[in-house]
Amino acid sequence: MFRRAIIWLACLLAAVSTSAAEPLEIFIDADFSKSTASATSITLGVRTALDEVGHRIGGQDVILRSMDHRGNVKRSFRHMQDLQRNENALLMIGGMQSPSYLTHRDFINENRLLTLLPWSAAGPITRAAEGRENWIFRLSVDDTKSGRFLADAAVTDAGCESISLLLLDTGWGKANHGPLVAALDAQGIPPQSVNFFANSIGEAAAGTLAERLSRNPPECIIMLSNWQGGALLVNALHQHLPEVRLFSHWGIMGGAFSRLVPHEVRTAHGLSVLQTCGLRREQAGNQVLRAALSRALENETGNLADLPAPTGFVHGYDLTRVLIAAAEQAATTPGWSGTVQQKRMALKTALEHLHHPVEGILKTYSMPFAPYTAQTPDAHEALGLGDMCLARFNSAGQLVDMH
Amino acid sequence: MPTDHKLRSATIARRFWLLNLLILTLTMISSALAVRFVALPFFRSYQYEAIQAQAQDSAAHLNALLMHNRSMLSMIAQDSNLVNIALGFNNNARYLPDLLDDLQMPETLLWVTFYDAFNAPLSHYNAPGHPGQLRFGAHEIRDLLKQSQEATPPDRLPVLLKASGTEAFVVMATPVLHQGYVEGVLVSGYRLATDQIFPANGIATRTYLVQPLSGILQRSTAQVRALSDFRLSVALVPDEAAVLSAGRAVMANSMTAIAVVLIGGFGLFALVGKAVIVAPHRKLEAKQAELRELAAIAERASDSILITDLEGRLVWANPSFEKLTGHLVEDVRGLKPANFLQGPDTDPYTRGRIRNALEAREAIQVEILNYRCDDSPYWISLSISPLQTDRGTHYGFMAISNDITEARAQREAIVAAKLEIEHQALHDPLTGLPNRRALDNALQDRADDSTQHSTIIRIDLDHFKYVNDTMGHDAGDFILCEVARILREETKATDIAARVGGDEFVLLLSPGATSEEGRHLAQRMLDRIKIPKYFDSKSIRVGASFGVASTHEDLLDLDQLIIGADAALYAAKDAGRNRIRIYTETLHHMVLERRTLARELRRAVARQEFVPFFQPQFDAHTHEIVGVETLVRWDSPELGLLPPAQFLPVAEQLSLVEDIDNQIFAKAMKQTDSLRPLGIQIPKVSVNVTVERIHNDQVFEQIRAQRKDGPKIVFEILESVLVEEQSDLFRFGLDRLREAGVQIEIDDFGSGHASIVGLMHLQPDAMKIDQRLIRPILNDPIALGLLQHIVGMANLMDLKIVAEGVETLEHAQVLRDIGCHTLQGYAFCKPLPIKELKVFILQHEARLRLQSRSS
Repeated sequence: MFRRAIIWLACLLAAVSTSAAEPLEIFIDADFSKSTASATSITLGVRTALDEVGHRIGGQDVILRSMDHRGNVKRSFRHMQDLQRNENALLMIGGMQSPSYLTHRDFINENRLLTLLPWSAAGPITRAAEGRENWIFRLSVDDTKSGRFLADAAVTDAGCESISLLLLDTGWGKANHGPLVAALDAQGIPPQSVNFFANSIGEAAAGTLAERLSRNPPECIIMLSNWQGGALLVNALHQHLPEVRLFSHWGIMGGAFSRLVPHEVRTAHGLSVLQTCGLRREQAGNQVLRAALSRALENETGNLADLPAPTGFVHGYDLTRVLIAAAEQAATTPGWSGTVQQKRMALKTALEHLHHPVEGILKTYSMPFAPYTAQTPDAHEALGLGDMCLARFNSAGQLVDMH
Repeated sequence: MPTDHKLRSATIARRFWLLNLLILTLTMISSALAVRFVALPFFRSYQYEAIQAQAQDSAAHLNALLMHNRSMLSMIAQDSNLVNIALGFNNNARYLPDLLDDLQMPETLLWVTFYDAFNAPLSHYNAPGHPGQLRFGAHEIRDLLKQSQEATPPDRLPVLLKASGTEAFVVMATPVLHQGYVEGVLVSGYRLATDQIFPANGIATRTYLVQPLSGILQRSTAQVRALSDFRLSVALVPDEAAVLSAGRAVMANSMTAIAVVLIGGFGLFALVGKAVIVAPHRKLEAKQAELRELAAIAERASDSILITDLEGRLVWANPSFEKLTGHLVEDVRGLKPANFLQGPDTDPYTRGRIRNALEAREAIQVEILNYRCDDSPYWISLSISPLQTDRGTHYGFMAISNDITEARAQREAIVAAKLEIEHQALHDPLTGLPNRRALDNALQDRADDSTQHSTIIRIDLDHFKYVNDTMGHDAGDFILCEVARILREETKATDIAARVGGDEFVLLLSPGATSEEGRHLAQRMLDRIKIPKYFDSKSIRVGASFGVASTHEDLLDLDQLIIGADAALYAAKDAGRNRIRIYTETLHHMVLERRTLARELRRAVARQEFVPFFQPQFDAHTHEIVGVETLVRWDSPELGLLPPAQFLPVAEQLSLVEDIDNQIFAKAMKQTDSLRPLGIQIPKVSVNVTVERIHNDQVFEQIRAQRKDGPKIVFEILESVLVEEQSDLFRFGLDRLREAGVQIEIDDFGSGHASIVGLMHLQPDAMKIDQRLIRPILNDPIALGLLQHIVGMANLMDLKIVAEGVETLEHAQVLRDIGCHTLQGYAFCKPLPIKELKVFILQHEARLRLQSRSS
């Protein structure tokens, strides 16, 4: 009995000592191959924030591990499994796409894999299934609200009287379908048509879809797309519906959209893109942003437009600042010195009960998260409706705030 | 001779064929040497190139086949839903199998497995009918997947291969790409039937699929070609035996072809040679033989055959000529046969025909009278044909003749007999006059030429039967011949006098003759016929009645002329015979009326228009009604009520009397029966019947059908039956009727033969005395006395006497006094219809009762 206890203790000590010796790992599970801009921008934001604290959080060194899932849900899942198995991996920061977290939300929550999302916008991700813990935190647009925001922008601000929906045929697109329709219904303008398109849509299919829409042309279109499909569709719409006005979710960011869609096309359709209000903060001369940018770009004059996907940077940065604050708070708890699972738990608890406000680019986060229950669906949402803005591309293909 | 001719022909033919055969053999040997040393090496070189070309073709063919399969899978790999599944957006495992089920996949496809980017199988599809055995190890598949996920696609795609017998199993991997990255792999398995893809032929025994470094490449004879797009090769193993045998086959085929051409050529040459050289020779030989045979036949022929030159001078003749003509050929050679064979009775016309035919060089066949050396005549059938050379030049004539004297005589006899038969068919053998058939023919001829009117005289001898009956048939025939002679003498040659019956003659006058001319001619003939004739020293008198009818008056058409003349003849007979009547307009109307009457009569029978009238019969003493006689009347809607005299003669001609009698009898029985409810019972109903009705079964059945308590039925039969009808059938009928209760009365007794013997045989129940004997009794004592004797005779025979035609009550008294039992006549009552009869009977009975009461 005693002997067995000694062996157990030895193992425990070995584990603790190993963990103490090795830096904690933070996975960045993003599409570094096909949506490089978004992935690298997020990484840059995270790295910039960590850089500010010398890559130490809660008193422990951290390193970032870029995990390229190439937009493949399965590959992303493997990263989760790696996270589960890896005794040094503290948490995972998600990329731009939502499908992986929509598909494996329950796996994450079951296995208590702390996941922070700086970009993925699908509403259900941060709403755990009934009776489950919720280990996913988001500092990004929440599509349960983005639908309403886009509907407001199209109907109230732009005065559109007929609106069609163009939605990506993935979990993300489907998750947005309901909120968008509901928001338009609430505005008294039900969608003229709802059109789903494949993730891997080609030029011909895009042309066909645009031609079909032109048979009963809407005044405005609200589009949820990735950048590749989005670029094809906007160009096709320009052919068949030259006067339609476009409101896009931010899925079109994170890639080479602005290169593939000429400026005159973007202008002709008054293409407006959902963003959080980072650009506005930049215009307002936000000091945190200035500092972060100068650290990230290593020059004093750099601005957000120089980044390929500013959203990723801003959110990644703000989220990491919140994470650092939470880690500092968690480090004061016994769990932080325990196994990685215990650390994750300590960190989650700290995130949900952050004692001090955290100053970020978008805003100062005071209690950004709270323990999640079915009655508090936004408990793991750091941003709200008021944090959303619309942006447009300038001639250089950079986003500028509309106001 | 024929044997020699055949031998000579056979020798020529044998030499000809031997020569042909020798040249052919030499030509074939030289050809075979040429093929062996020139063509065969060239062929072997060509064969080697063919093997290489086939290896190249096989590789290209297989590459195309696999590329086709690969293209198919590549297309499927681009399906957006499949990409979504690979990316994990969707995990529908049935999507791929369903998609492939809907597509027309190559028959060689066995299975497809869809792997994700981590080589985990997502779904699997088995082609229909294939169990889906992979046949490859997991490591092999894994290696293949690994190779297919390489960032840079290789120049030649990796495949897995397993060969088993004639089957080769090939597996290839097709990446599922998303934006240029491999996110999944479609691994597809195929079964290739190498024997079908590369069928064995004269070049290769077998073609294998091999992968590089395969042991089969070591074989020196194999031709190996790599596929351009796949890591695969085909190895073609040449068929050495086939190559050798192909060489031999080339040799053999070439020689066969050369042999066919040479044999064909020589054969053609032989045929032409045979036609040009051998055949004419044979033909000439045959012709000579034929001529010899023909000459022998001509020598022996029974027909006379002679040949002349173009001038007609005799050149040659056979022995039959000498036999037929009696001339020796030597004597007449150089002479013209016409000059010494034809004589005074030879038909000049036939001679002319022969002359013309000779001049025209035409064949001719005639019958002609010739004369022998001894001047005796004979008939021959002569056929003369011009003779000409093969080139058509005339050089003479051939005459063939045979004696037909006897045959000609027989033929003429047959013609004469035929003429006689024809004459008899159209003539009366007794008088020699044309008969009815000849007359019909003449009328038909006249009908065909209807431009002129025709007139006919119909003649019937009066009392001719009497001549036959009294003086015998010879006398009758004599009279007929005499009349025929008169007819012949009185008529013109263009008239036709025909005997158409026993004593009936018809004269068809010459076209255009009128009725009046006919009357004059008839009158002349009547005058001569009336003159007594003497036969066997006995004088015979006959008269004749004449009816003349003509189409002149436009009353008759030609086909009705005989009928019209008949009508006129009957009019003459009715007028007292020995006279002439013309078919006039009046007669024409009578005929028409009679015809109308006949038509109406037929309708009346059908409509049952005949009604019975009843004349009561009274007891001579008490004047009580003892019966009625039923008399027929025709109640015609068009003609009114007609007595029998106006229609019975016509009805008899139309054979309607029996129908009328049946109607009258049935109606009479029914009507008299209808009086019974009034208390009137007629004791006896008499009906007049013809002899035929006595033995008529239908009548007998009618009688039997009558009620038993009805009136007594009496059949009145004319007195003439007493002498005429004594047949067994008649007697049988009579007995049968009597047994059925019918009484028989003799009607009109005393008007005819009044045969007492007949009465004795017949034994009637009553006798009805003719009214012509009754009517004069008041004034003529002879008539009264005669009647008294008749009554006496009847009493003696126990017969009842009925007197008819009782016109006055004085008659009634006298008749009662002399013993008549029953009286009938206008003195009592005329014939009445049933309604009036009923009234009469009731009144009569009332009168009788009053009389008896007053007395």
